[in-house]
Amino acid sequence: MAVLAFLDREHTVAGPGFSRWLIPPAALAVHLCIGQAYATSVYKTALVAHFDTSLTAIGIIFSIAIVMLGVSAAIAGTWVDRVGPRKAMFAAACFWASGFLVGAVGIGTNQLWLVYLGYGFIGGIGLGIGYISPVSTLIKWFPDRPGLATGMAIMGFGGGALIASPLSSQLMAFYDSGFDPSDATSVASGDAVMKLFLTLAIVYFLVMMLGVFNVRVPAPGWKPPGFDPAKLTAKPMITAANVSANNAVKTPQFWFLWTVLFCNVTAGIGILEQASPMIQDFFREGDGVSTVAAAAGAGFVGLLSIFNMAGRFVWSSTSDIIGRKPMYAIYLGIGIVLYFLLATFGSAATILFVLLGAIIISFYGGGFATVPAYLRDLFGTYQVGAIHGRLLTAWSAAGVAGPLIINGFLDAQGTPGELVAADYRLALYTMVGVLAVGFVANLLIRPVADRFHESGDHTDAFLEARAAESRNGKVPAGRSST
Amino acid sequence: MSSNEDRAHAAADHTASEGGQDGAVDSGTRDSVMGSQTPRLVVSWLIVGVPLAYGIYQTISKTLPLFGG
Repeated sequence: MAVLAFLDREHTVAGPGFSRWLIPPAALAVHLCIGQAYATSVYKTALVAHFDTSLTAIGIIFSIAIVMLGVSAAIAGTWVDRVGPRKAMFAAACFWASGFLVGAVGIGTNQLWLVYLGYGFIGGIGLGIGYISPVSTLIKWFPDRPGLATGMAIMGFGGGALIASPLSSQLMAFYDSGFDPSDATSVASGDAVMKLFLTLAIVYFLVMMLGVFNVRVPAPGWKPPGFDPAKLTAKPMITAANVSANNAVKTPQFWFLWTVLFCNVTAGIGILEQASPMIQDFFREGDGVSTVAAAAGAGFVGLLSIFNMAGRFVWSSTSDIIGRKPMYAIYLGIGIVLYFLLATFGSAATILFVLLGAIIISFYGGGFATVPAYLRDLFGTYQVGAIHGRLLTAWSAAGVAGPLIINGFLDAQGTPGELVAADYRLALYTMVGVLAVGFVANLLIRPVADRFHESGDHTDAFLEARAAESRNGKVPAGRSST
Repeated sequence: MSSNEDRAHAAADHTASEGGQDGAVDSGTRDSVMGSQTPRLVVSWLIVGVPLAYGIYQTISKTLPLFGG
């Protein structure tokens, strides 16, 4: 279609002099929007009241979206690498905005299945494609600092919730004058949530289009001034070779890294899932009353969100200096110590509990943001987006395992609202064990064997597809840019 | 897209077809391309930076009760 010609590969290659610093805001434009997925709790109660159903039934919307994130990232990864970031981001914007629109129709017509289909299924596809779409491009533009580049983008996913949460509350109050966001007992009307969904669909589509129009891939042979690839690949854990996505999943390195990500995320989700009640339970006194008020519990959740976001940028950037394997050894090794301290001494003082929780969650965020650079180091840039997509199934699996572990232990210990610090010990010690498994898996990661490497001409899936297009006469040879 | 950018990209296209190495670009051309990108860089960073700052501010305000605020 002529109107969509700007999405073609030929328009996605940057000309010389193009500033690579336009790429991080392009990536952020996508990740800040899809990061809304972590802010669904804002309208959860309103949807429960509107559909007159249970919290579990509404929680399924989010679960479907996260499962679809993993599935679509795994399936569409190769396509994303081949068509390039611009078309992928456009597809993500269409899916994400359509998800909200169909969800709004579901709320407006009182049909919950349409919200499952819209926000959960269609929006979830947007999440998966959007999450991986800028990653390989960032790595190509920042071969000297891939951790910093992917940290910036994936920080956006954490930051998206920080924006969406207060913004959604304010919009619902605007659409429903009877709703007071500062009153915990106040519930917005279904009509207000429907209008919120319509607004978010439009706003997110427009912001994501900023990413679509700004993103470019570097021209063949481009490298940042002063960058010497030979120096980088001289390091033992950074390869100069390339591995395809199909071959990557046959290597032990992929599955060790899958285990590393799974363990890091499982442990982090265990705390994130329970953050507000957990801090109150840890400081519950003999009379059953907690010294930490509900408002302070909500504040703790906010603080964790900030550290989750900051950890993505700070730790991922640090990995450029100290290396990816040592960075994960820190996430998992120090994580073991921190979880142990939290379980054993966390109830000694609120400040100690908050400090331990904040560092643990910064490691959780850092684990997400550092993994694309780790993949680049091990498998090269050829299909790093597709490999990243397949690795994200570890996130989906951890999203099920983490809450199951923590809730399973807590259910066995007593009733919510009556739990104390000691009731959390078994669950947290289990997380220590989970992190230990991840620590060992990280230690076992070695460079990928030569037999999995691609031949020299397979270095960039996007440019390869573009060259094939040129050979078939679909694109004027040598044309690039805009 | 502005006509300046069009010209810049046309120059970029020409050089890219000849090899595309950043170092191969005439420094005057690169400076003019970079200069034309400055407003775009500022606007792009503002579009993502301002909402992010709003979100961080709102979240930090929410954490105050945790510290007795």
